[in-house]
Amino acid sequence: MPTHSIPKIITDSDLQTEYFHELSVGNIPAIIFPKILDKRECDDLSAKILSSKEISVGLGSTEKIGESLNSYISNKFEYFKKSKSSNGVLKKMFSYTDPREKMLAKISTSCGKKIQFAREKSRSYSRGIIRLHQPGTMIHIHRDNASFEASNFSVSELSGQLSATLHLQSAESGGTLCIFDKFWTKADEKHRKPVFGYSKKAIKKVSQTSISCNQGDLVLINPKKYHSVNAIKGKLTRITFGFFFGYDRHCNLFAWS
Amino acid sequence: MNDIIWGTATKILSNKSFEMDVTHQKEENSLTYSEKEIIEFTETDIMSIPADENLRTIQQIEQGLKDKFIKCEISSRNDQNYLICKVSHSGAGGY
Repeated sequence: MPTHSIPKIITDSDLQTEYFHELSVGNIPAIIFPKILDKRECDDLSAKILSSKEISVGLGSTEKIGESLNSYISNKFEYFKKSKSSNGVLKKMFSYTDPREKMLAKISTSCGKKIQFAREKSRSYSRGIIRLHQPGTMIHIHRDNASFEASNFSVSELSGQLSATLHLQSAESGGTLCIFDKFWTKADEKHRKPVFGYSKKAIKKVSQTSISCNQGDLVLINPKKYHSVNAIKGKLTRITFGFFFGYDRHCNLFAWS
Repeated sequence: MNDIIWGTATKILSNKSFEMDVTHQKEENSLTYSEKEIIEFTETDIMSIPADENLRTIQQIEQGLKDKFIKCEISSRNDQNYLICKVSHSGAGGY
């Protein structure tokens, strides 16, 4: 399959807001902030996560700690109830090192906008989700689009949804992130799979970029483009922490998962 | 167990019916369904659609159903050849 453009790797001396625009319009497949957490911080968090009793099974059969909005499209009350609980779990888990502080700071500094976690009236959205991908598993082709899929939630009114994922533990091999150079359209719903994601027909003959994510890297992608993760190989569980963010009408950024 | 089909709601016809492109049919279904069916729904889990059909507007139905990938649990077919179904959102296109 043909490949397309390379991701933009941003260092602290190379902060330009134009990269966010390029990502939003699909001209670049990803923005990578290398090593925002060091190895020790990532290893400590990974060990804590792997020994946690809060792991459950989420969408796409991945194990998780935290909640994602797409699991509750038809049950808003339950989403906010579960989010309140999981926000407490994450707060406790991140009591020594909270990766969200560095993630939010990197995003805010790089795009020149304030960012905070979203609320709806007095209720907090889920403040991120840890995903554990076990060896032998993969993440099927999908796209993320709250504006279309979560129309009963206020975050559906945010524009320019992007995804932020911090890689806490990489797979020994495999686990490559694939970004397909195609934005989802409504017409693609005919390629939906009943449980999760899309048939390969949705990305037939579409070029792709493969990104091997390193421990400690923060990777931003435009989740309205189709993406997937190849099979995880070796003994290590691939562990990530992520959330989405988008702009309100005043160009402030709000995050959720 | 009821037959189940999945697909995209393409055209809203009234405050309780819509046209659907059928893309998936459960293997165990007792009947086969056309690529296009008209669905009359008796029940839905879609939050923006009031349960009482007298309180529904076409706009609410369009917002909640149009272009969405949905699951239809079929209970019967009526005299107009519409499928009478319980309708719900199906799975997720992403995280």
